[in-house]
Amino acid sequence: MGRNFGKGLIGLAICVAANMTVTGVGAQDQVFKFGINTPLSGPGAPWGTYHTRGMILAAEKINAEGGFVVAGQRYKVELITYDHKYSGPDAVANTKRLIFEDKVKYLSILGGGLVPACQAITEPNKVITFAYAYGGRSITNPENPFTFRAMPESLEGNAAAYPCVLKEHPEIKRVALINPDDDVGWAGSEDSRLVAGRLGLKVVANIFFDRATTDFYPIATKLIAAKPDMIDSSTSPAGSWALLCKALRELGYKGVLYQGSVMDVGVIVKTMGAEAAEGMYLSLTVAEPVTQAQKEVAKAYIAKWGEPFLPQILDYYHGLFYLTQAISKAGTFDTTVVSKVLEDLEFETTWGKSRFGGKRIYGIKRQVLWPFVISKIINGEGKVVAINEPPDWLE
Amino acid sequence: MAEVPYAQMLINGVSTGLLYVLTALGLTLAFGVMGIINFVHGELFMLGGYITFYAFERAGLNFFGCLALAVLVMAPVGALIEKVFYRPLRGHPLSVLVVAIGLSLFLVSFGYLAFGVQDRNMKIPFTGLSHIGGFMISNERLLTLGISLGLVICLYLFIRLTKTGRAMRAVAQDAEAAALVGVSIDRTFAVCMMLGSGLAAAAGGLVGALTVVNPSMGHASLFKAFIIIVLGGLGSIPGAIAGGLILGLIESFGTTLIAPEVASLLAFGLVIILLIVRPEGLFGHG
Repeated sequence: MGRNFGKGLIGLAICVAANMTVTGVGAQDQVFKFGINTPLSGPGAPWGTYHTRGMILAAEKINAEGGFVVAGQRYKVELITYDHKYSGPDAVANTKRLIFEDKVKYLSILGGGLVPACQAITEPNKVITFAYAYGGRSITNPENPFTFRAMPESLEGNAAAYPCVLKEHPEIKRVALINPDDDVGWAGSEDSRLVAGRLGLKVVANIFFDRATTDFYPIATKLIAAKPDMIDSSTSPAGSWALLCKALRELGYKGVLYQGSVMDVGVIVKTMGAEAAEGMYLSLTVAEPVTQAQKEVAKAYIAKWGEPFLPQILDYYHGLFYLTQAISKAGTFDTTVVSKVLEDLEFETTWGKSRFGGKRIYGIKRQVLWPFVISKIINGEGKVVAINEPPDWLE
Repeated sequence: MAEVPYAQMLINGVSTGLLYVLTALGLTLAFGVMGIINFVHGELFMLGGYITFYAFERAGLNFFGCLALAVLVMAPVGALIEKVFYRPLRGHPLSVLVVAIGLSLFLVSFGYLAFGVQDRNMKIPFTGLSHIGGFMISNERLLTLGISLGLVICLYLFIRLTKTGRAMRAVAQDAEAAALVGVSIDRTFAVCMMLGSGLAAAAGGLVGALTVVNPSMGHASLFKAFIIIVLGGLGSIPGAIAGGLILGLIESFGTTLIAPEVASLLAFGLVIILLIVRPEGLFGHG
């Protein structure tokens, strides 16, 4: 318990640490302030911790390499972090504080359901926002040109993964969908129905559950009664998904299980048992770093925090690199100019060549696209089975 | 839905309902005997879950031993809470309520600091499935059902047959009169809190084994426990049992036949209608 107590204190101190100048900023350097609005306490704290740490690693690397140059002047990155506790009012209050008190013009927000509320502040003030949130067209649309979704969500994951799953399981004709009962879940359901429809699959059930649910036997009973060949949850958190799948297997479900968002494989395997988890497909999830660049990030993470590296941190690691690249290329901090540069920029991430797309789906190129990984649980471990480029219809 | 799995829905509802009963019993005891709304009850449930988790996962103890440990640790904690926080405020129920809420918030924050923010999963204590009649149930869930039922029966027998149980019933009926005939109010209240805390801890350990353990797990369980004890009648043990089973069955049938969100609507709708018709609850006294 003592170790956990210490870790808890360290976790809370991340907010303070990230608010201090990131290492490498000297007195003579100009400072580029970047805001982080994320949950650092409460149930969302694990994601907020990944978010913050991913950005700290990125900022430190940028600063260690001398920062970035804009119109001949060198800038170092300074992170300003606030905890929104996954509360809408707090997220909005933090956004206002970042923009009006801290004078940031670039920030990131983590939290599906929170970003739209914050967009009411960021968009009129032309603040470029990196949204780490599911929510589909409620977040990414032409009415919000300064919001860039800096991580893939279930649509991109499913579009890459479904063909891979169907190739191995051509018997799949009927799909049941299950998602949390909020805007993130509704968007995830819409994404799955879109992909399933394009592939000629029949959606036989479309269920939404309260995020606080822990007893999934009644829901599992309902799902099984619909006789699906595959059960897809694109937006359930790992714990809920694992409990649901455990119930499904206990009640005799033998079909394919598919999860379309980033997952902690260890939680799934521990909760439902390795045998029950065998063969589960996971999109956007890797259990271990895949590329050399990712392994280097993992090494830096472990050296800094002394904890196991979770690859979902990579989602938050990339953003500062291509943002600073775009600002350098634009030669100005003017967010209108930078947003135009960003939308046409091709940049490197640890997954390979990446860019913003999504015009055909969202009406504007504001969705990050990079090669998407598909994993499968084999012998209790998540193994990468494919890395697919996003299909053309997502561009 | 092609085939309606009524047998499965029934066992789902009963197994969930019994866990609800176990969680609610301590709360209804506290109200019935002590006249207080013990807001800390959810956090006693949570701490019981963590004790079970650490004993089972880290110390490698037998699962039954872990549950027993959780009960043995949390029962005296309950008595301590009564002595330190509630006893000085006896006769001031509003003050007790405020203190209980504050203590609850303190313990949740303590939970985040001490145990971290991650959900904790226990490995499955009892693997395998049982086919009984027309339904399937995991051995883990079957055992949980059995333990819950056993504890409920033990509590009922304790209240009905032991001297302390009679004292508790006497105090619940009329504390002043009970004191006049020699019943120690302090001791009765302490035992009541010990029983309630022990039951909460056992419930937390069982629920934690079936689902997850996290610092906020007590809040959701407390909310449902309140619904159950109001539905069943404040202070009534048969009421808590009936209320828990009814809620479990409504959730099961409502979820499987209609939809999860409708099940909640049905459950709370029923509570509202029942309280309008019978404000004292199913087994409460006016």
